Amino acid sequence: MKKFLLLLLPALAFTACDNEDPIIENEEEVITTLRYELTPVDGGAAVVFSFTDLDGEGGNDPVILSPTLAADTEYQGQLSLLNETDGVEDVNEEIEEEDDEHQVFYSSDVVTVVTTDTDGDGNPLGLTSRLTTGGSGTGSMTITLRHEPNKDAEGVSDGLIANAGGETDIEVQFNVVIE
Amino acid sequence: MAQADCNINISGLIIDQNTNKPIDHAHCVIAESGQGRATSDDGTFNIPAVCPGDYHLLISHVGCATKTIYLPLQKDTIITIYLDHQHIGLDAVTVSAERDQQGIQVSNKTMDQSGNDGLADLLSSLEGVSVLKTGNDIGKPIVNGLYGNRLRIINAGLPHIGQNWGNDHAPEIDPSMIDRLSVVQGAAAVTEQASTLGTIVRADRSIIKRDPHIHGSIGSVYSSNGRSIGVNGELYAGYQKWSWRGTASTRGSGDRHTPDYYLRNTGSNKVAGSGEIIYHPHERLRASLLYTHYQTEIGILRGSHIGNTTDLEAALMATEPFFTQPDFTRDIDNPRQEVSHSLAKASLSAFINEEERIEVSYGVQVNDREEYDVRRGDRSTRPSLSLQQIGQHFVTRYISEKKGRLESGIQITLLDNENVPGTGILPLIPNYLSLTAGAYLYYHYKADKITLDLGLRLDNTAREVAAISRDLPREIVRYNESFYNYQTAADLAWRIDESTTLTYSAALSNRAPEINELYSQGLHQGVSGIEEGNLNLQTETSILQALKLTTDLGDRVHLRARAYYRHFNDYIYLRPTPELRLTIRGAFPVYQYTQTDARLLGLDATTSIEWSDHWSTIADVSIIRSDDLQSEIPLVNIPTDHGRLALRYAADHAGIFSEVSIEAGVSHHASQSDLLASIEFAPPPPAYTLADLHIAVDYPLGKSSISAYVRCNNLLNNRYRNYLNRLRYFADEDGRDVTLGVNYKF
Repeated sequence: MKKFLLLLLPALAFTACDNEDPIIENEEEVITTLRYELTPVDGGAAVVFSFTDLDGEGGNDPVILSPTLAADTEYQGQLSLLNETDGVEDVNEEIEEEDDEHQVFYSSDVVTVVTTDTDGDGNPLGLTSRLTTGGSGTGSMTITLRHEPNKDAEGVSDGLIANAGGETDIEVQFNVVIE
Repeated sequence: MAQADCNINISGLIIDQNTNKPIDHAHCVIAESGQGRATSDDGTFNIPAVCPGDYHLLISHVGCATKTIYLPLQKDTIITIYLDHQHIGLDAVTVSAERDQQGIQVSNKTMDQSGNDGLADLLSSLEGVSVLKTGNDIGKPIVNGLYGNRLRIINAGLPHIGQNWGNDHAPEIDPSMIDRLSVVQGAAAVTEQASTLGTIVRADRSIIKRDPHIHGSIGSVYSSNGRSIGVNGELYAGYQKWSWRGTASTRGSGDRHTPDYYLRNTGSNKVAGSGEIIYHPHERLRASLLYTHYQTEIGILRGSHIGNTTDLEAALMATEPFFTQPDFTRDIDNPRQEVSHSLAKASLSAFINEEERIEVSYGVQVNDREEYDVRRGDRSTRPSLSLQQIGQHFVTRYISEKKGRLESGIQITLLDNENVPGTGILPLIPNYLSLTAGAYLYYHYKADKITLDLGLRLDNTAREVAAISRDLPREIVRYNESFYNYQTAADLAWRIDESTTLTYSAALSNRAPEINELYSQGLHQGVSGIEEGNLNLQTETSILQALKLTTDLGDRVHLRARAYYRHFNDYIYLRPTPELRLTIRGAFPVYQYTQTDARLLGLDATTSIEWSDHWSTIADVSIIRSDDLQSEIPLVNIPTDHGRLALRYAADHAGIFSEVSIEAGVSHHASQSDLLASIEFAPPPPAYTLADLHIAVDYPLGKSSISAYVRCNNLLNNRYRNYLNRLRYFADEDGRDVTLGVNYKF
């Protein structure tokens, strides 16, 4: 048995690693905030649909604001994507730099949205848009940002998402009330 | 040289090392002179009139790999040779005579003709072993329903470390670096520290043969599907006091192809090598140094990279994966994995006397894993996950073979797991430091009719964890924990007669919750769900009972069957919760680690029938059932029922060739009916039947030999999907593949 104890001696060679604090990553790629600002073309105050989730998929629930839209109105739409994890970072810039790899899709059962901007190849991008309301009613609107969609696939350049493929970076649904 | 000198007589006995029975009709040939004889019915042979000199004796027999023995000859010599004989067709043989009820081993033929197979694919040649896949280059073994945290691998005598929890993390061990691959169950498994539930996979290297001439092999493999090219080589020599060996292997592969389309971004590259030096100054002492390195880059099907559940639904509807291209390419883009693993080990074996010995080893392993995703901006060149794990191992054993075999030992493992900064993403797994110390006792006793194995093991794991909070502001949260694990096992084998053995095994063991089960946090994009660890998890307990039958019906029918029942208390699993959590990427289902009582019930059987000296039929079947006993639903990732039937022709000699074998097989995999549809994203794939063909020949060249083989998988180019492949949601399995391999041994 003594032999055994002797054999244990090399165990002392195990160096005690110092357990340093892990680095908290700067989550620069995260999109925390989506703002869809709608300005009536014929004048009037702008309204903003927004989705804000500062702590990501865990922690607190996101905050969603869905303002009421006016009936039979045409709005100029501007989509802003922000990373507010640490200060405010404009994600739109990155998307504009890689405009051929991104496309925003709008789908709704009560309003009509047409994108008004294009990428370097002349395909739709979708950061700016035109939204038209009909008579009063309620429904929903989904805003989707796809990364690396196939913009050449059938219907994609007309705003149809079904054949787009790619990965979804954003998919937010808003309730829409038109009065 | 005078004729009178050439009167040396070599005589000997050839014995089957598994059954201790003599082997008849084995060929014993002196490579240098061509003199040779076949053994007679009692296993003996006699080669007269040999001149003095240094020779190599080749011993070959149907169903055995040819064995070469170095023989310096000065006078009449009598030798006894143990051959690793397999019954024709039984693709696996027992690990060794002394542990015969414990394990099954992948056959040498399968190891030699592995083509491009990974470790898990090779293991799946054994009954009861399946592969959990993410595409064709990432495979984890599943043994009797156990995988991941429940099934550990002992590589070169050390517990293989790494991110074992991930279903898409394949073991970082290259088949070119190992000689023996086996599954060990029962009491003998307690001898290893990572054997938490009494089942382990062993990847071992063989002892270097004592032969002062440099020997080795060089081989090349080509596969049509993926157009992969591989080269591997080995060199070794064994002198009076020294022996050494080196191996090297590399492979490159491009996009695979289903019957209908290329699988975009499924190429892979790997490099592996090892070096080993053994010093044995006298018979009682043996010191060895071993270093192995493995490195791989694996592309993941581009169309399987999805952002949310809408993308998954779109992929399920699509007839072919998104991003499919019409042309073949070897390019590997994101998503991909870059993984490397190094192992260094020093060991010392000292024989106290004929029967007792002590073994001491110290080993270090470094495992690096980087996973790259398709990311916005220029971030695709930065890994989304970057983990480094460093393991230090200290192993001691005392082995006595005075009466039976008594073995005891102490093992200590220190793991340091760290997220390498710079990913820009909160880590899924926290940093931690863990120290596991354990001791075991194993006893093996063999009487005339009865063999008894008893095992006992105790381990303590202490872990220091530094996690990052999910609430704002982010901060570091520390946890300390300690778990005790025990393992007790007994196997009783009853040799009913010469040809039949019945073994009953019982084992009670437990497993501490692993790091991912306690702490994982975050979105698992691959599976479109949010995974949450659970700090309240307790140790999981398993009770296993198994009955194994090995029998020969006459000389020509061989059967091995094993039935098992494993009951779990507090089985840890990922349970879907009713919650759908809203994120900016849409709503995701939330999965949380939780515990339940569960059971696994299974039967594995393999049989071979020798119709004549050349023709035989091989059949095997594996069936498994699983239940979550609390909610009465099945467990996930349990292999479907499957079986294979093959017809085999084997001959010692055919024309200029020796060791010719031709095998045609049909395998059938049932659909996974034992599963709850509501917890799956898509219904399980339908049943499928595949055909395969395997032809192998040896061409002897004096002392050396050339062996060649052709293997065709999915011969009929069937379109199918495999329940155990995570990419089943996105794409079909590979179409026909023809693999050609040539190996020159010298």
